[in-house]
Amino acid sequence: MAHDQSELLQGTLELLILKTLSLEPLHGWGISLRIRQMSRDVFQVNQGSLYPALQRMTSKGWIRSEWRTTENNRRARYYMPTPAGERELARERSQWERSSAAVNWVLNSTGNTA
Amino acid sequence: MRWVAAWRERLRALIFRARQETELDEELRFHLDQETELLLEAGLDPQEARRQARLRFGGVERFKEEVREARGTGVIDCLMLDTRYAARRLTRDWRFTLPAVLILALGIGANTAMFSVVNRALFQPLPFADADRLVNIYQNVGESSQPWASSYPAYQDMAGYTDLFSGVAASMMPTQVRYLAGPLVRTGSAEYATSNYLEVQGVDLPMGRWFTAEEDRPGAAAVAVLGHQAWTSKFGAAPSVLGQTMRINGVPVTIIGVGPEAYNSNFHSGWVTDFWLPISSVTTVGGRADVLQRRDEDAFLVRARLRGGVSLPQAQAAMTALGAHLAKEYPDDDPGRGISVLRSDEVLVHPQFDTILGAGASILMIVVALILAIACTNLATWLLVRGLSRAKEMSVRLALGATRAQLARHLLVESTVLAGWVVRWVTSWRNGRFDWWRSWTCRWTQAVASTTGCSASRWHCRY
Repeated sequence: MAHDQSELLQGTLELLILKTLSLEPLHGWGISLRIRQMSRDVFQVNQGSLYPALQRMTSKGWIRSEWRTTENNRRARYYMPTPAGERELARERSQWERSSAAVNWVLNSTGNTA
Repeated sequence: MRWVAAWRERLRALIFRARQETELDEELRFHLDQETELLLEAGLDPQEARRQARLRFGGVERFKEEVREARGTGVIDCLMLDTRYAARRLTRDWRFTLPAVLILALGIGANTAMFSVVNRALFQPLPFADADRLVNIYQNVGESSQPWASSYPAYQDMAGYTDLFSGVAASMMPTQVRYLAGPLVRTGSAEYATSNYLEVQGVDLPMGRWFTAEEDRPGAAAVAVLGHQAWTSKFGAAPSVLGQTMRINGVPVTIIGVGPEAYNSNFHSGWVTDFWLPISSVTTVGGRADVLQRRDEDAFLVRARLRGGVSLPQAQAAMTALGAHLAKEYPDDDPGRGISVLRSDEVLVHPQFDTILGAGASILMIVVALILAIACTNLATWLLVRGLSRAKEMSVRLALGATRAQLARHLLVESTVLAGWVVRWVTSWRNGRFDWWRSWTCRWTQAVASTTGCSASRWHCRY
């Protein structure tokens, strides 16, 4: 259903990228694959939109990149989080948890409290 | 620091643009290849796999553009493009550009010239060592006894107070001389000064030396210190001027030194001295036989350095006593004149002019600002006329998808380029006598020009 395949918001995409990279350095395609797997294909985005996001995050100093060779002996650009990126992830995560808790609370309330 | 990282990235992007582009290509190609392989493994035929991979990726060019934008060089790119285009266009439309530059140059030129004088007189500190121990001594003049200038005999009397002053120097008000520079006869300004002039004020010479007391005796061979500005502008800053003999007012004079760069004349104003000569040569070179003897020749400015522990009121008291004594001794020449002692750093140009100088300067600045405003409106009208003839161009641009902001930015850049040219022209044209204040004046001119550029185009955009 169209509703399940949520439009991915820019900020959320960056959060997901940070989370993915905090596990291990990955190249762009690897990140896209990992996000698809982790989110069980709920997030369907144009894979290309990953790259502007990666550039934005590099500009912000959250991630850095270097060229490495893959196991198939191809050159690929690997991304990894910087310390600033790690801090950003922690901050974003706590913020996300707070707001999602609030939304849950609102959705689950029965209305009797009013 | 996030913004530091952002700017570093931006700079890198600018410098390594070509490399970044190939890297981006390679990165995206890698992505598409990997995705294709994944789909091949899933059992699609090669052609279909390739197609699906591209479909899943989305528009490659679009994302490349987004990446470039994210690098943050987009703004700089556009500005550079606009600037180049504006320069090309203005050169091609020189019939339009020439009057525009002239209009602006008049406005900005007047502004700059005025600012350079005001800046010198009002804002620049004296270049002297321990300027707070320096005093100016003036014999007073007129019924209200205003500080004016001293006669040479009076200076000699003042110099006798060695208990108060560690040194007293005199210099004659600048006078005009003719001198021979190569085949040309030029007019310049000369200042006759005592041999301790430099030492009292605490200024150093960049080259050569000042004249000695021996050289400041009647009958000594004439020597001169060349003003720094004359040295650079008339003699190409050549070190070989030292030792050269030059005819000043027909008298052969040997150049022995080059004057300080930051100090150009005893009148701390726009005046620039070309030669400093020993005061005794005022009779030979200056051709004024009795100026050093007459008590009614108020031609000298006296500057003295207070001894340690001597206060200004003490010096003033002694000089008042001297004034009373002189009035009694020479009732014809020094009738009832007092003597004023003023701190040198509290005198801008001369006590007589300073009071009106501040007010005058503000009025003048307002006037030149108005001139600039007039120039601006003229220019805006001129731009407007051109704008009308460009209406077609603008509609084509709009039709092709340019936003209004882009058009406005383009016009803004064009006006700024125009103003920038004027600045280059104005500053190169007036690097004659005034380039002493180049730095601040130039900054001022640039500020004025960019404001002018912006405001002119503001009008321009309105049509």
